[in-house]
Amino acid sequence: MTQDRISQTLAAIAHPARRAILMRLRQGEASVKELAEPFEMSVPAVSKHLKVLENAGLISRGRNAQLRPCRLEPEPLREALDWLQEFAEFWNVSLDRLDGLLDQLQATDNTPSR
Amino acid sequence: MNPEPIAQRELVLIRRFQAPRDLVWRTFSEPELLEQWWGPENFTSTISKFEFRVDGEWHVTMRAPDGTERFVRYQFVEIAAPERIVYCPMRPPDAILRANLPPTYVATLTLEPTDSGDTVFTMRAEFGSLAERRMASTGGFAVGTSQAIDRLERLLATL
Repeated sequence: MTQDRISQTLAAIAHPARRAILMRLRQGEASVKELAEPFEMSVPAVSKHLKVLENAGLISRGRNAQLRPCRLEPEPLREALDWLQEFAEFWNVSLDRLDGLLDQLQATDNTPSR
Repeated sequence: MNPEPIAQRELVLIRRFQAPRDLVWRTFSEPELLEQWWGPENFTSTISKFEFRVDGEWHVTMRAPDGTERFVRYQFVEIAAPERIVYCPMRPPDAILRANLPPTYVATLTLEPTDSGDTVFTMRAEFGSLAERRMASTGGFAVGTSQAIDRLERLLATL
């Protein structure tokens, strides 16, 4: 539980079944039974995945005691995507600058190594 | 129930530099060169600590054009000259007070010489529990830039 939220999000979507569940929930709320059917998974197996998704804050469950419909909560996904994009951007910009620095270092080097 | 292999929770960037590996290595291992390229667009970086050894710390302050500063601490996990550096970010000092922490990751930087004398650079960041376990690399270069980002983007595309 000490894990940060973004790592938790990435871990949650690292399983194909959980991604499939999220994809299905884009179309709207669904009960555990409805989710289990198209994937040919048992209800307990789906419930286990839903627990992971719920703990990661990627879905919420309704109060209806019988059905407890699942609903997609996209906010953590956006947060993780934003962070990853910023991280990749940081590296891309830095490496552009490194490229320039390497040119500069080689140009000033009196004994060309290539 | 097994989670997917390592590739699903990592981010990979690959870049080819027209420079010999020894020179590229210097730009990572000499702080006065490293601070010249490290950081976001138009930021200036100042390295205040650089212990280039396993478990050594590396502190850098990145200064934005508007004057705001970002202080980051990293720790070296592995150093194998002139081909590999592994490091991870350290928790910010005020971590306990913060609700949303940046993710933990382990970054593996590799430099591979090509036949033509260029250098292929790879940055591989592993996130979360995967990073903590730090499984052995599968070897070889992953294709594409970022599976983690691609995956999220696809997921978000129609939300």
